[in-house]
Amino acid sequence: MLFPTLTFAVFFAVVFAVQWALAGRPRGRKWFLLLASYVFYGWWNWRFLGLIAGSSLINHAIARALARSESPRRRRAWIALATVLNLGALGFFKYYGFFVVNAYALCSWLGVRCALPLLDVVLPVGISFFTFQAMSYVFDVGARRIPPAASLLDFALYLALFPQLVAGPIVRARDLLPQIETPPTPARLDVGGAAVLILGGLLKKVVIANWLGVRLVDPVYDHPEAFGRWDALAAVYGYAVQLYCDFSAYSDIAIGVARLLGFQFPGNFDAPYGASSVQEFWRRWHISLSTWLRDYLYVPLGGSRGGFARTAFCLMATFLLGGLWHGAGWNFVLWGALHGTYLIIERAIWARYGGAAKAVARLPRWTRFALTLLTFHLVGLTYVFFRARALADALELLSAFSRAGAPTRITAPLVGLLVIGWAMQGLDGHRADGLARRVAAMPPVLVGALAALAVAVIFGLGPRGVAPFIYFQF
Amino acid sequence: MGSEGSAGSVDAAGRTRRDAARTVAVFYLAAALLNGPAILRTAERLEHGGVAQQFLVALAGPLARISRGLGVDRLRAAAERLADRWFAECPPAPSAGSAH
Repeated sequence: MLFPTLTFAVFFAVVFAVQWALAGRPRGRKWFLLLASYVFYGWWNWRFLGLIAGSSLINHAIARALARSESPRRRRAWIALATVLNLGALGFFKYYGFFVVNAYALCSWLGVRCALPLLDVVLPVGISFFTFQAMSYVFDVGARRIPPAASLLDFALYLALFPQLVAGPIVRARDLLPQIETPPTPARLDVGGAAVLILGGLLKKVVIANWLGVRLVDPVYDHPEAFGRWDALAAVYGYAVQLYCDFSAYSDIAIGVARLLGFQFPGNFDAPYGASSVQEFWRRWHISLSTWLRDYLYVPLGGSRGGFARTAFCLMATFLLGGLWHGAGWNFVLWGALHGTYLIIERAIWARYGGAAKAVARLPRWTRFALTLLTFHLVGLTYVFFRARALADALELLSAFSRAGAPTRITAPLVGLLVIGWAMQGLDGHRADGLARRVAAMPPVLVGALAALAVAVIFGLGPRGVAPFIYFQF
Repeated sequence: MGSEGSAGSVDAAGRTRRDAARTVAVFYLAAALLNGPAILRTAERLEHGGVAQQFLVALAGPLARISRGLGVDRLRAAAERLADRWFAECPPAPSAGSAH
């Protein structure tokens, strides 16, 4: 079920009404929210409900065993089992095809016979997100950072709670589980903040991301050989803005919807294209994934505790795996490797000045602005490998920069969308708090009416049909 | 962690649950009226068919008639015309091989 659809609108009206009607019955409310979350997920393909239910059952059982166990060796074994099972499921559904194709290519190159079966494996929506949530829960219970969930119902609801189920943010158990164990029944709801998040998200997704995709990015990326350098450049800018508007829209709507149900999710974006270094970019982009990778991969590998070579290894390993998390393809591996390389170079440059953050803060304003532009262009050009369907397509698009030709896709309305999409970062983080407070101060009827007017205009301005969110494929 | 509690957080400035429910109810009613004909079009095209689609079409039919009768569908229609004018001027995507 997609957020900006009629089906979701009807679904949410029912969920909002019933879950608040059950506010005095916490257990009934939890069961209802779990049922609603499974309907939300099963609407896409009910066959995969078994996967998320099975993941809940297995990870809950392992976490309980971890909490009971006092033996370090046994605890390590439970954690290893959870890792193997979670990554095994993710690996099968997401990477089996990639593995088999590359195994065949390698066997062919070596001149040996390969007998792996070719299966048409359907990728379950959101598997990367809920698998990472389940793993972080088990790791945190294993490290005694959090207690296990009080019941299977609580854990199943943590894993499946519908606003964040299919495309994040990846909400940690320490943030969400306490809210699920004692479902929040706040006397007052932050309707102003939720309205700003949801309407801003709809504008970003329905109008900006969808039009940029349909009119600029898709045509150029689908046929890069037909375009010259100006259109290729516009498509590179277009995809940077489209991806931000698409993905941050999902996070914003998820956070806003959760807030209307009384739950608080952490923010996932913080004006990422305003970053003055790639390191800062990763502190502002898909924050829930970057902090996950930092806490459960980069730091356990050694992080920055060793020398420069060790840190460089940890950065590269983290970003190679981060690239693979996004998709099973060499283009994603290269995208991750490039980001890892940028971070290593940055670390080498800024090390003598006490780190990038401190050094950049001391620079004159125009130098910081130049670094922001440089960072954006690096990130944007690297997206070519992220957006292209294969490595060859990415190289074809980059080769378009060497071709002359008048621009054919650049129109004033599309440039306007690029600028507005970029400017929407001005609502990230706490920047929209003032607007949210102004909305909150309005009479309830006026807020409802104005939101309805905004929705009519937003959906009227968007292209016909519903484009799925880009991050659904991950 | 990043920007916890972005776009305002639950605080004393929030609404009571009754007021929040009123806001949501007004939103749904007004949005249904303003988007009546578009909701009907969407309901008719729903893939799932069956009872859900029949229910939505049955609900959206009268809504669309009221919306047109009151003339409140004009805002969305105007936005659609504007979008068509702005974005229809881009040439369609070329077919493969039609290089410069």
